[in-house]
Amino acid sequence: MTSTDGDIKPINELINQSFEYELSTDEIKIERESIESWLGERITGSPEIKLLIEQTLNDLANYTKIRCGFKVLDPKLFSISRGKMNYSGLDFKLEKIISSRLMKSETIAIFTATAGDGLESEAKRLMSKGDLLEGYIFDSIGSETAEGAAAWIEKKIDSMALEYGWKTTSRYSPGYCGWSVKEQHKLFSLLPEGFCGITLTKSALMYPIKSVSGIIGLGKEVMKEDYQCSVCDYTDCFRHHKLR
Amino acid sequence: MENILENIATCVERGKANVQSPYPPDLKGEDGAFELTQKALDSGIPPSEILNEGLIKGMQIIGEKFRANKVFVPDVLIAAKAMNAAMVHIKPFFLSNEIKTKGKVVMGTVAGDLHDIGKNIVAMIIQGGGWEIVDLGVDVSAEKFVKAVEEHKPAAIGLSALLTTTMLNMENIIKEIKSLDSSIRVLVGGAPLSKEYADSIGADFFSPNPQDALEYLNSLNNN
Repeated sequence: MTSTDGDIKPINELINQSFEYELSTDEIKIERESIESWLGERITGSPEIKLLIEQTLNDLANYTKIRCGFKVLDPKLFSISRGKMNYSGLDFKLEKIISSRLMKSETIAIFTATAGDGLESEAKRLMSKGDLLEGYIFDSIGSETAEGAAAWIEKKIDSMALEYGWKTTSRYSPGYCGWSVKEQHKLFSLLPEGFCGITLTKSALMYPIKSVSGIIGLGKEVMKEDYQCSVCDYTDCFRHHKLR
Repeated sequence: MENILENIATCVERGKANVQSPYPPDLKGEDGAFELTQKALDSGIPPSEILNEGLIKGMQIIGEKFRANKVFVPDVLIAAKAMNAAMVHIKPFFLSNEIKTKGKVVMGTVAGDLHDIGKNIVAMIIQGGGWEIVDLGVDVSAEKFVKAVEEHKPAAIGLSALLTTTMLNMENIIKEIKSLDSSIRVLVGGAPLSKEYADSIGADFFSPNPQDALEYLNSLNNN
């Protein structure tokens, strides 16, 4: 792969194409520190708990079906303005935290990523039989796995964009940074049905639950910027949590 | 005698369910809430005293620490597990009416929403405070809540939602419950909610933390 002008591929190859990947657990990075930060020092001070986390991570392949993918929208049908994004007549209402960072985008890539439903099911099974902490550890690892898959697809989009002479923004998801989770229905309407095996409930909840969706801005003038958690009032967001 | 009750409270607060519990590391191999509760009963301490001065006290300490952001969700989970382990010895006294719960609370995650960890944490703290919980699970419709009210005659209902899309379903559920029995208190909670929103849909109580919910319920019994 190269980004020199002479080797830049024609962008038309990408437009309206869907790319889907199935990943092994070795291909994604799961932040052990992040899992431990969810659990707290009082818990992770126990060698048995550290061992349980270790064993669950080693055994991850038995509980996951990691899939992710993306689709690049047609730049001719895309527009972005303050607090608003439009694609082919479909309006998206964005907070300026997101729209300001997408402002120079020529189009967006819509992405999804999922850990599958195995970790969630195991978490529920353990909790229902009274193994509350063990269930919570599976649940936390499920969240981190979905995040790991989202990070993988973001990198994939970054590197593919580079081949076509484009740069990328950070990723933004409905339900975060003031973007209503309801708008997930509009995003999914632009993807092939059952993309990555994820379905959406009427209330815009993804199933499997351990899934992530969102957008990444693409263009020659865009850049990655930090999230603005300090000015966002959604304190339950995992990005806020990571800042603490 | 006081010492064993204090030790029970400590075991619950620190999540030491029984002698086999691997956590907390500094109590490894020592008796947990399960063994100490049996010993307290054997020594003639009334079950109501063990419940109030040992088990509920331990849950109260962890609930207050959770409210103050001094501990994390897993700390509450292991505390609840320790309490449940000890309750094996105490439950028969509920059945024989020697001790009574403070009342029933029906809880559920509202229709369209499948998230249950937040609801479960609140249920654990409220149950740990001496209330009986009827947990309806997730994706619970107004009809199911109404049916549970008719069947269980609870003092209060707890509604949970994690999404802005599903919190909208709370209003209809509250209307249906209140039209059946206006005296039932409805508590609401979940990340996207606020006191203003809770007031606007006719909820009686909102708090971002479970300990406040328990204290609100306890205040109902004191009035």
